[in-house]
Amino acid sequence: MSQVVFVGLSGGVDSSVAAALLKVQGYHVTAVFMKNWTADVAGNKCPWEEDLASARAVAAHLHIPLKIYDFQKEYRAKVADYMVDAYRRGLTPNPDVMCNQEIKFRTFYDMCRSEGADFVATGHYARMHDGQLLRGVDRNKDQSYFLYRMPHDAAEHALFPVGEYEKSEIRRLAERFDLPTAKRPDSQGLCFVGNVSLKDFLHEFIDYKPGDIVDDQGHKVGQHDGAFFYTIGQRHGLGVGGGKPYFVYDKDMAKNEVYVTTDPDSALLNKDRLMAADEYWWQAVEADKVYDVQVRYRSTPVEGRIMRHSDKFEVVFSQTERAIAPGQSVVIYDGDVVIGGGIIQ
Amino acid sequence: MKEHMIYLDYAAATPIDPEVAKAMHAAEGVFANPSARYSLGRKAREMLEVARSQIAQVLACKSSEIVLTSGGSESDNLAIFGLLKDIGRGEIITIPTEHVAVLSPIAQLGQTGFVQKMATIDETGMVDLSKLETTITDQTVLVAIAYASSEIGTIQPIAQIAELVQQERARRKQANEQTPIFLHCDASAAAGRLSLDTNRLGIDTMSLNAAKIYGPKGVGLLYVRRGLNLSPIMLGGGQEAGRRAGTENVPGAAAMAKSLQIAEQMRKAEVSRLTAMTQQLARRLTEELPNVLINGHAKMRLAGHLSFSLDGYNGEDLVAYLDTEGIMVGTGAACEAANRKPSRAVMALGRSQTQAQGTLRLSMGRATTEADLTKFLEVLTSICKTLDTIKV
Repeated sequence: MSQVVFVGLSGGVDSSVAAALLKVQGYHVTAVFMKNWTADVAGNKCPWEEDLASARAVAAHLHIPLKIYDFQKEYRAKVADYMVDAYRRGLTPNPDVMCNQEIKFRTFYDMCRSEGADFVATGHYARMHDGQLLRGVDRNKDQSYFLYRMPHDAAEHALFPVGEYEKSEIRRLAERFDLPTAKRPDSQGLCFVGNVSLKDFLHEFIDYKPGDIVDDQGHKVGQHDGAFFYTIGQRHGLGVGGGKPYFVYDKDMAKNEVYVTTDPDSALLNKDRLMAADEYWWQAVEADKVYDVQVRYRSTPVEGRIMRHSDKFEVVFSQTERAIAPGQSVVIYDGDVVIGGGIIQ
Repeated sequence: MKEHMIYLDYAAATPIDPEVAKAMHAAEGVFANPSARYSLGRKAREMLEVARSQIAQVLACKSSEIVLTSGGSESDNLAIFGLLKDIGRGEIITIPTEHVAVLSPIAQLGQTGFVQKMATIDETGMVDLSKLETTITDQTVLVAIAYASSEIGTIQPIAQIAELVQQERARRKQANEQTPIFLHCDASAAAGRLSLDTNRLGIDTMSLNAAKIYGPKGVGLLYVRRGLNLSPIMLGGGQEAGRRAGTENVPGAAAMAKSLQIAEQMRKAEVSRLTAMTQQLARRLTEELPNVLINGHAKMRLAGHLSFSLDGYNGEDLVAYLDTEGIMVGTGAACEAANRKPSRAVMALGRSQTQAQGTLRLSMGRATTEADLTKFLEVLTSICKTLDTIKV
């Protein structure tokens, strides 16, 4: 009796290839389309119906059953509300990290297991070797940053088939398997709003609140329409005309002020340490060991040491790191191995 | 894509007839605005009016009774909103198997002073005439019932429905009541299958769509009986005698005329050919597959149209599997699969949720052969077996 894998099929090319690879590897594969909460922002319909039709075509092509799980309520509460709430508090949250932690590898995973899955697979670009999370082979597409908080019990039974390949190879495999999704463009933007800007999405929940933009000399240089819309390191969209570009280096939510500098090398913007809390570890950190540290998805890792404090930890970089945004995750790597991380304070 | 494809979704879209394409291309050369006063403009106007009179001939009506539109949906919207704009209140009667282009405008009017009433249909989808007679009251301002349902295929007794409306109209006249009553009929699915003689139908407005009769998409018309006061829903240059603004689509009009002429010429032969094929398919389906339920009326059914439910299967899955074998069919309606809400029209026939979920709509056209249907049946049977083995 071959082992049963449930694979999350999104209607995109990556999860389609994941399903095809698992089938070729001899697993007994069941596809699951997750219906997550979607917001219809004016003028933009979230394309989930097309995604479902695409997933259905793939399941038919592979002759595997397709289930539909409806997690709209859970997704709304655990991901969308969390995200809006964090922005309201002036943070830069990471909904993808939250989605993996709370939905894909909790609610979804549990449901798959209870319906007979030995393993649960997704189309993530990451690797899972003996219950240890590793970066995907394609460093450019690597999604381990988003997965570092996935629950350990789920890691024991998780499979990431596409993480073993380069993206270009995945496209080639899709053609070779003759998958109906082979030519589908990669999805963009927030998965639950479709092609709407983050600001337009947030504005559905948060009212504009005009305030001052202040430069590093203390001069008012412009107006913004709500400090919560801005993130540290942000360069565009300040509405400050002419001259050199400005970068956000800080915000004061109480005063509703956004602080900017024109100097990209300013010490205000480039820090040599950070504090993180709400930590999550795969392996114990060693004192005085130099790790690769990543403060954003796809940013080039920088070297750093970890210092323990009572209920948080500090990262001390070997060189300065730019635009460290509270609310984002800091993820610690040893080579390709994910050691753990936390939420930047 | 498979090399040999079998297309069985003619109720959704048809290929353009080469003769229609020719007529359309000929008109494209005369690009001037038909409202322009110079000779090329006059030529365009002339082509437009020739097309309109050819259309009128097929519908046995006057040219002035034809409003050219962008398709069936616009025609339905124009009829419903256009007829009722100045009336403001009253009852609107329709049936649950109507196209959403009819149901949605009525639902919207239902929020603004009008009352929406569903007429009773039987398990074949046919309107119950004796019940309709009492559903129509002195407050009824519009009855909107399609000539034939594109989803179920059932043909409605439009002429008898029109008689009921005329009876009520006559009664009001005698009683000196001012409230008007109209009958709108969406004939998009019926074109090429049933007579479009507007005199015999007795309707007030009727929608047609070129895309369903081997014409281009984005072209349609609304027949508006003479003397009716139809308000435009699109305002602008007052084209189409003030009933629909926008520069006239002359190639579209020429295509519409040609599509209708050809459909009418071929109608009787096509109907008898497709009726035989449909009946045979229905019989073989019930013989060869378990749990098949044929939807709609046994006799009063559009030729070449067959809606059926396979209990225990998912129509969307069947469509996807048939597609991998190069066979294109529809479920008949865009259903909310993730919410597991099956077709409202099929449910209205009294089918169970799982039956409605397993609905396929097969619609044949000019290129359909018996070999296509045999192949379809063979593939469908094998897909059902596959699905049985992987059922979750």
